[in-house]
Amino acid sequence: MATKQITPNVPAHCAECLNRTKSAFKNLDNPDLDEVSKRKSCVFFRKGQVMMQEGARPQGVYCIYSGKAKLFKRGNEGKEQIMRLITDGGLIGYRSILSDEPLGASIVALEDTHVCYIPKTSFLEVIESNPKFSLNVLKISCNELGEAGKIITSLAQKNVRERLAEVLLLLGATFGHTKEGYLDISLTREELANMIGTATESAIRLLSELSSEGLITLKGRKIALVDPIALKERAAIFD
Amino acid sequence: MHAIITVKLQQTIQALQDVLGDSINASILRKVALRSSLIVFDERHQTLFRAGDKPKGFYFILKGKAELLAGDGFSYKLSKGSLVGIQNYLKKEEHHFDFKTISSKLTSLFIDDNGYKLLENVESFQILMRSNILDEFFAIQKVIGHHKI
Repeated sequence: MATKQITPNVPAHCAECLNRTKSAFKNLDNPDLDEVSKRKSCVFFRKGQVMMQEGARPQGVYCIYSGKAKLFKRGNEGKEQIMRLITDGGLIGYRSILSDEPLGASIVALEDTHVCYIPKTSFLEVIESNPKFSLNVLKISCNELGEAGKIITSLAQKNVRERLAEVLLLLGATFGHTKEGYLDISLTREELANMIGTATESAIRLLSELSSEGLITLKGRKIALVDPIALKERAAIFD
Repeated sequence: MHAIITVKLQQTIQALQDVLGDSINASILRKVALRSSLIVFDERHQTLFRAGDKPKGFYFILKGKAELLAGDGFSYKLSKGSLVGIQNYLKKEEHHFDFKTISSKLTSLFIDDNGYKLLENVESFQILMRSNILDEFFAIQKVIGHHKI
């Protein structure tokens, strides 16, 4: 079995994990963390590599230590609809395990990604024995359900221009910005189009329009949000 | 203390090479490994497919054993090189039977449309596919024959 020390920075014990506060494991006490740490293993996925697939039955969950992934479903013609982007602390595969159903979507690494793999039995043991953890998982599930509802509403009620502005703001809020002010995530134009449910050509044209209006700047794949307030108006977000 | 990290891609390529042999093009092997997920079942009686599941892909057994449970005590054993659920995947039909692990550890690769498109023209995979389809066909025929009697 191929094992190799890629980077020395993934802690062996969950108690030392800097991303634990962002994850479902945030309130776990040391005995539970000891148990999870004993059973977990660390896995490295290359950029573009499939992590989990729609229709398969995962035998454990992945907790992202570092990296980014996209969760998507394929339509009848093979076109992706990106449902969610996942980053540090994100939990993958838990709904399939809890519902004992095959995965409803596929997950692919958007960049080189380090994850911790927790086998199904350990995950279920902690769920059963720790109410705080169960509540965390329930909260995550409810949030994701809420986000999925927003996507459905957005796809049904907003036009493509509004959806694009909304997604750009969402990317900024989720992944933050680099020192140069660009969104800290590298998506292809096709992936961006798949997030808003349109053709790649339309996404390219609309990005170019937003750029010429001075709301964003583009540099290759990189996108900077220059005028978030105007973008919010474009996205028809009023709060 | 830092964790030892498993490189999933290398692990998958090695396991695939073990089953398909060295004749397969290295670039195709890498692409298949990138587009498929390695799933390790670490207990007996774990479900791979349940009757009624939609066939989004199939499991390529790289190590370990599974069985198709056809009811009335009839089962059909699957082992290294077996393509679990290939018939229904190709026909795009819901699964009619349950498939479960019978070994305490089963290593498999879940292959969907993307992986299949890459593998369908690989000779060693074609040979495996033909024998898998025939074996599964005869096993199901046996079950049907038993029910007629």
